Amino acid sequence: MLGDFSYPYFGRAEDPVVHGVVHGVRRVDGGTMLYYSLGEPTEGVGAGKTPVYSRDEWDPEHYGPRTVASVSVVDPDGLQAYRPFSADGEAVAVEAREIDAAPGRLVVAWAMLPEMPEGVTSVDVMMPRGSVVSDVPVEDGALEPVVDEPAPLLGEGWPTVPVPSDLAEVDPGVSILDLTRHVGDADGTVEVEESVEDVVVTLDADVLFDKSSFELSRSAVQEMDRVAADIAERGTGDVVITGHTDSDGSTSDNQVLSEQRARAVRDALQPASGDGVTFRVVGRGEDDPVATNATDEGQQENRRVTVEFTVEQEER
Amino acid sequence: MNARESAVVVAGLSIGMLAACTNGDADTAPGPDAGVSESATTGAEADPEPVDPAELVADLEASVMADDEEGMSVASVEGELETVGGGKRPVTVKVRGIRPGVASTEVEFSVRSKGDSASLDTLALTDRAGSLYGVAVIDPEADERYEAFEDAGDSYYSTCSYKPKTLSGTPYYLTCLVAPLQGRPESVSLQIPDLPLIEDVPVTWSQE
Repeated sequence: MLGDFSYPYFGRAEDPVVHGVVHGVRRVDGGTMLYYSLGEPTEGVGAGKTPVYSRDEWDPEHYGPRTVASVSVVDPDGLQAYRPFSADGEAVAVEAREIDAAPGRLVVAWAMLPEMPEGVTSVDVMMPRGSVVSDVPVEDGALEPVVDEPAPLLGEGWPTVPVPSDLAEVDPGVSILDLTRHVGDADGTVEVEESVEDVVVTLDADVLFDKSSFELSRSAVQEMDRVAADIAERGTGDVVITGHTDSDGSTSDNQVLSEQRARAVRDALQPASGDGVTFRVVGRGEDDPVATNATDEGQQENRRVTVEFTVEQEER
Repeated sequence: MNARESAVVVAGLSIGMLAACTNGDADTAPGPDAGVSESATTGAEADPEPVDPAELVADLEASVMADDEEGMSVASVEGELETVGGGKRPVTVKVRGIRPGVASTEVEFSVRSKGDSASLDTLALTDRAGSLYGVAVIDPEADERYEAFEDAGDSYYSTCSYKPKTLSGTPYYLTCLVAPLQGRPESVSLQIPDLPLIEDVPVTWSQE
């Protein structure tokens, strides 16, 4: 479903609000065209009016100052985000100076993004300042009729699509971001970070073990079952289990405890994880804190066991 | 998406007609009907009601530009947000919807300062630069928690709005895309950093 969006152009509550509509995400030769339109009801948009794109959203390394590059398309299923192509330090997208519309009118804008896999049929579109239009269908072919205007008013036609020769110098790697998906249990004692290639499960050691113990508690059994089932379903290769402690106690004791806890988790997971994976155990002691050890909350975050495994790739 | 119901009704029709415009003659100079689809023309043949393209665009522009209506919230909470310098400001948060999609879940809410319309300093709302950080949808029945997608690399790219620089008495609309809900919960909780947990927020499932 296509939809509308709005944002205060510079992120302050008192700023004029830019309104807009996503008109299409279309597969074309060499990439993907994102068509959208922008407007503002009282001043209009463009030079001397409401800007549509603020400096704090620049990515000058890849997109320079001239182009409207703060848009992206998210494939949440494939865990990838697509930003505009970058060529010669500028985005392959409408230039900010080309945007001009009277109050209440919508002007059409565009950006050219990398090609997406054939299996992607729906995406979420992130507009400036992170406003969202979700579940936009991915369709074939450029919108027509095409006009010479790089940014026509809505209803006057659609901008020209860059031809493949315009894209000869682009590096798609700059424009494709690998994403992570974050889920877990309700109280945050289990966190799962999933990317295209692997899964990292972080388990709160206070839930798995009694203080200074390496015997799994009864409350850990359910969490172990869930993790093992996930490994059995899609895990492949090595499963790396790493124990971590806070900095209380001696370094050598913490090192031993982290190894013992990692082995205890392995022993609980291995029988139910299938034959397709190999387990490896690591103890890191207090060497890899993720939070300060100066507070109780930080120490609790540092007491953890992580389970990392590679997932089988799905064809799309 | 700012799913203003009145806007979406008009916009859904008009956007579809404009976006479906894929079979026009590129060599034809754009006239007043440029941007209107063949499907719209076909529809006109089946439907004796004529479609005025200019009116269609004007209707769409009017509906898209209309002020956001805060009244359609499904849950709310009051609390305090930290400001730079360690201060606290009272705020009201209204949840406008939690909408499961194909492979993600859209969360939309507004934040405004309570009682006055003075601008605030940059709000904390996150301990990282740029986007909101730490927004989560929680399904207490299923014991599941869902957070935003993030760049697996070093950038701060995430699927949440940029955090507001200032707030006032006018609602500031924010969105987050979080991981897809498992099962089909009728209600969930919404966690926004620094604010009380918002419980029993109804989930808006699309009609299937």
